[in-house]
Amino acid sequence: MHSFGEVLESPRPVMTFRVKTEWLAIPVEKVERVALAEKLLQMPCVRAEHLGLLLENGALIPVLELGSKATTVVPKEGWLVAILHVRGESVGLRIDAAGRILHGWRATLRTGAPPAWLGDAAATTIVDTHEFCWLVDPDALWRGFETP
Amino acid sequence: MAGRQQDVHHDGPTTLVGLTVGPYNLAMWADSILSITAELPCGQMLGAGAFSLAVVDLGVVCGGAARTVLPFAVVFESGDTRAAIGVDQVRHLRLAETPQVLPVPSFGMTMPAFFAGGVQVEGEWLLLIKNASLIEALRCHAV
Repeated sequence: MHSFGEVLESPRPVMTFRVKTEWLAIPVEKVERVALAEKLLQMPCVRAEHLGLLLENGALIPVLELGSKATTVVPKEGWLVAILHVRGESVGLRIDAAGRILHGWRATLRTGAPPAWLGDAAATTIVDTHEFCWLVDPDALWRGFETP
Repeated sequence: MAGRQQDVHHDGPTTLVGLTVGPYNLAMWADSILSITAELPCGQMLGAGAFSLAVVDLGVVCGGAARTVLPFAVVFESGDTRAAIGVDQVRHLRLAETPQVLPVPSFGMTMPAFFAGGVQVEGEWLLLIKNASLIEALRCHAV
């Protein structure tokens, strides 16, 4: 069993993204791609976090916010969207910046709880060169958002 | 009866009617729409054959504020059932060919059954309404 602060020999690579003021690290096998959303199709009858649908590679993909959305109006420069595999579905996460791929990383202790908008999706932090990142399991995001 | 009513031509599967409701761009196949009435006072019934229909403001269903006059009221059908909705704008969209309908992912939606898919018309995406599901929901809303 690995302990905090230990350098793992073959940790699965992660990609980092900034959402609001926090850096997230998501296993690369759960990251489909990063897209620029210049326009979203707004949907009625959606959860508060739902920003709209993005047309990507001939398919409509839901784009969601973590936490409550401030606006659904896409700015002129567009929104960065990380398209993730969430419980078998392609779901876009609006991000503020894309970071980089980390192949070797250390689990680390960090004081304080993860932000409420991460729910229980992040239990561990890892350390990048300068930043702490929350190690996030996309399958634990937006629980209960599938329609029965 | 207040309002200006006009019949809608039944043009087949290449003709849609675009329905704007607040910020949402929706659409119905034109051959499912029976009539469109402009400037109908809220609460007024609309005639549809032997029946009178209560008009449900789709703007309110979609989270908008109540109003006293509906810019447009649309009577539509699914099978033998008819219903009437209030919307902000209508436009006739005649297409060169039957558009591709992309499935709408239900993730994060509270009423996914409302939509048959997404269609792109003149570079703009519209949500195609599934009439039967909307009629079912309007029954609940009207009670």
